[in-house]
Amino acid sequence: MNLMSHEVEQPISAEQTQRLDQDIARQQAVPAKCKDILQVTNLKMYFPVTRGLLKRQVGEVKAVDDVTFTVAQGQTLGIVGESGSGKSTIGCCVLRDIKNTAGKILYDGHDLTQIGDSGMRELRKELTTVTQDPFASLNPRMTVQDIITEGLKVHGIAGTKAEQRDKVEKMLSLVGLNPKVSSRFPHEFSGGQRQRISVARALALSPKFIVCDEIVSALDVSIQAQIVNLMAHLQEQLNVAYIFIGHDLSVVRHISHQVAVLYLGKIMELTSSEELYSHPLHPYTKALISAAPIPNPTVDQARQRILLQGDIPSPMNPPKGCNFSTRCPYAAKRCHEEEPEYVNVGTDGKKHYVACHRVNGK
Amino acid sequence: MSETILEVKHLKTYFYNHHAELRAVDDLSYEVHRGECVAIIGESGSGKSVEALSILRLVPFPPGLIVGGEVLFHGKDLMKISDNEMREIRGSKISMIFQEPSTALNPVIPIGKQICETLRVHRGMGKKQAMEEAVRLLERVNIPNAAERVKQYPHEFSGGMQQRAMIAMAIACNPDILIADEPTTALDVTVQAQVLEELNKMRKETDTALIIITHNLGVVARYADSVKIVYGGKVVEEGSPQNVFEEPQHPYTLGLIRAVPRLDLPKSQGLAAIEGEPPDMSVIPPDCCAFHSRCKYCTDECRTKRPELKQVQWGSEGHRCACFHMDQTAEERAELMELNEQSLKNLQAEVSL
Repeated sequence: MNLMSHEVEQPISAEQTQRLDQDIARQQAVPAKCKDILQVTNLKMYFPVTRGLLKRQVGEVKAVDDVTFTVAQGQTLGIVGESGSGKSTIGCCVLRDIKNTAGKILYDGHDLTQIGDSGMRELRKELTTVTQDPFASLNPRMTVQDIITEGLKVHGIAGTKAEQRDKVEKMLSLVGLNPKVSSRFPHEFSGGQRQRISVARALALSPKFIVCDEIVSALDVSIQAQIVNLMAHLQEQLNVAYIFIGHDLSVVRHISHQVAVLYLGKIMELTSSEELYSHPLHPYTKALISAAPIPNPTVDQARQRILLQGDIPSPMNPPKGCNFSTRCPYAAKRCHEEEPEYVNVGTDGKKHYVACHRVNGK
Repeated sequence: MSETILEVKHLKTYFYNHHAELRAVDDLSYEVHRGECVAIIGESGSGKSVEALSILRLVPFPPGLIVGGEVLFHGKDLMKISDNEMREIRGSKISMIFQEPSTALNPVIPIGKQICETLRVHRGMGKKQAMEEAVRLLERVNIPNAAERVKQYPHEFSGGMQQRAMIAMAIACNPDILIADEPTTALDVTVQAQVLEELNKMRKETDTALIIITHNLGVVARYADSVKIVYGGKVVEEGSPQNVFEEPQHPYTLGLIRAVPRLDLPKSQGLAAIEGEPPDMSVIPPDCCAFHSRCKYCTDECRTKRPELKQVQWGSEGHRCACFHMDQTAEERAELMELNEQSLKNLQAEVSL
């Protein structure tokens, strides 16, 4: 049985929220000149496809194919794409859960592809993740206290029992939960509350960088907004950078400073979230925007609507030329033959990368 | 308004366990007209799916029990007819599309054969005739190369195509009512738009009434003729989409709409989240507003009395809301209307460019 929310949650005060709003406004006013904490260049992740007893390799799935991006300190890069576009694979590569095929991942001066397991273990303090399913990602047999301190213990920085208790209480109040719940088990919480526990666990190690993989997809609309606000609030307080992976462009755009639109393992468009709103360039981005539902019939009917045909092709056998050419309403002969380059078309020093012949040609 | 084909009156479905009674659907009433699209919107645990299952008498007993109310289909009470009669109606006159096509389809039977089953049971077709019809149905839902595809198994279909196959199955017997329970939740955004267009086209062509159950407000704004917002097993607001989305009265409706980040507007600062969690339905006392613990306008009245669904005084006909404090939400409503106006202005500016 879920607990009544007022026992468990401590609302973040109106004053705090107001301060947060001001902070965000200030942050947006500052041009993106912050130091890059993560630089990913030409990242490729191909999974082999094998057949038969001898595991003969018969092909490969190009889950992530030549992806380049940077994330600035204390900022958020949103990655949005449909299922099968490779967005979670990028997250896994950055966290070194899987070893990438090619490319460089530079985190705070360390090349993660060269660093080795022991070096990586040290870095895992700073580089953590929050995952999608709050029901699967928390061990049902561990109390909230154990869940949050596990990482500290692994790294040998847990300290005494009293210190641990203090830390857990601090973390829980940071994510808006009542510190008294630390002895409870995950099943006693609702989805949104569990996701808060996941966030508290990630924050316990004072990370500088968190990969948030679809963290709000499993939640109800009203709870989703709470968690999105919480993440923005924490970023302000703690100056952590996020990679925010999601399939819902409206949520991703809301929380991100930069948004990368991924399709079939390639970035189609990467730009600031304001630019994405005012000048989306790639046909796929436009289609995504127009497909996103808007809770207002008058506005919804007034909008231009681009309805894509068909499904995302298999990444095992991507189309020749532009990956999007099979579904693109503007696809020309060139799009089917030649792969478009991923170039910066931004004016006035703005970052706006697009991979489309139609846009680049102009 | 065209003929009423389904009338749900005071439907109550409760679930029981050793120590509690859970009112999943609590006194729900509405009408569905021929060819109409009714949207039922609610969060998880609001009772929206149980309500659909209740209409088809598919609620498992125990623990669930339809304890009261009538469901009049063409004037006949579905709660009173025999199981055999119900089976005749289920799948032929009223059919249903489920949320997760990958689990609703049988993985070891080819798609075509699964569609044939409905046709043979309800329309008494022969094997060959049914298979031909199955191909025609798949073509109708725009599955390319349908003649080959009927022989394939569900795992060979993508999510969007599986859902289309489900639609084909559901419309096989030209039902009067099609109930779609979260038809697009498991699908990608672009595919979601395709499937919804498909459903809407079907509805227009065959004059089938469509009941869409969803948690996503935006999805139905375009298609619905009437919208019901459910919370804690009760309708808290209903009306045309224009009424409900553009002039929402209930604090919960307002909260839901404002909790969704808008892609049609510049980035806002902080989302208007509804604090707290959806209520545990087994502990809500019957004599209160289910939303009271999360509502900022809550007073003692809300904790001790249950608000009735009433016509909104200043609203248009049929816009009804169950709240004691409708007048107090005006400020929030004005903010929302301002946002919508801004969005429309932006759109017009874009068009004129």
